[in-house]
Amino acid sequence: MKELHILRSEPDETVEKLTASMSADHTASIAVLYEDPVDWAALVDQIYENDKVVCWW
Amino acid sequence: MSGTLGILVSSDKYMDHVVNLTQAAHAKGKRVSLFFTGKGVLLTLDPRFGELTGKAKLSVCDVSFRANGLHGREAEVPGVGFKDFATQAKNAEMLALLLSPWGGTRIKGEDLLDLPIMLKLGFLPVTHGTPPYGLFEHPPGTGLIPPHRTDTGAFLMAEVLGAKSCILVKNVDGLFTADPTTEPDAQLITDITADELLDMDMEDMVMERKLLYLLKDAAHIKEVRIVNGHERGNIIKALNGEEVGTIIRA
Repeated sequence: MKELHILRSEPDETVEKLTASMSADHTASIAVLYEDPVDWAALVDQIYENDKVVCWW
Repeated sequence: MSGTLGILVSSDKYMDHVVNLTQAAHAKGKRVSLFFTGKGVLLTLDPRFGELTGKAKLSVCDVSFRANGLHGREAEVPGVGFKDFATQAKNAEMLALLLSPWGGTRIKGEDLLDLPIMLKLGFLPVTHGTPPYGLFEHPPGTGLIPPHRTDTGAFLMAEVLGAKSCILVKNVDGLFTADPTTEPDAQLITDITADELLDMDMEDMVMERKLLYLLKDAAHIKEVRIVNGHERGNIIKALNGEEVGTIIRA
């Protein structure tokens, strides 16, 4: 399973732990929205390339 | 995979993210469906909200809109008509889409009487739990939140259809003597009657109080079970009549 984690703001310790724990047994990638520039077109592609997308606060 | 990109907006902090992602998806020919709920409804009055019209199907949670003090300002929201203030209907639409590989099918109120044949054919019908308020909504005793919401709606559907059971799937293990997130000594209640629960007069419960009054006088449904849907296997256990979560009896 391919999993994408979208981080809208800089992750705190809890989010870091949760993303690491959720991604432990499969392929996971991270998209960061709090650093410019964001490639929104590429993000759309990433969303469709993954089986599961988790969007963090 | 579906060509629709569904986005649930529950925060009022990231309007630029919503607009940029919607525009990028629209430019790639994707259908975009946006549902604003919780604090996210505050974005409907953001000057940039208008940039979403024509690029996405827009819906707004009616209950959240009112709860945030925006009742009466529906006409100010660009691109969102009266019918797009959809409350839970949009959640059902998104859930049906996610469950589509397993037969998930969005149904509406007028389809309820076709449920037996749908189940026979292997469909997994998904509907919203809020009772249909198209013509009339019971006014709440206090505040703006309607007393008949998804728990009550699910119960009424089960009762009207003569269902074998009514199982409410929540994100907690069941009904506790107090809020387990703030009261470490809170105990899980495994079996209780509606009258006993009403006598406890709990300030906060995992389901709507109105459901208890309906359960007491129901013709078909004599018990409601609450299970934690975040634990794999719980729904199967509940369907098999095994002890899991909380059972509330008439």
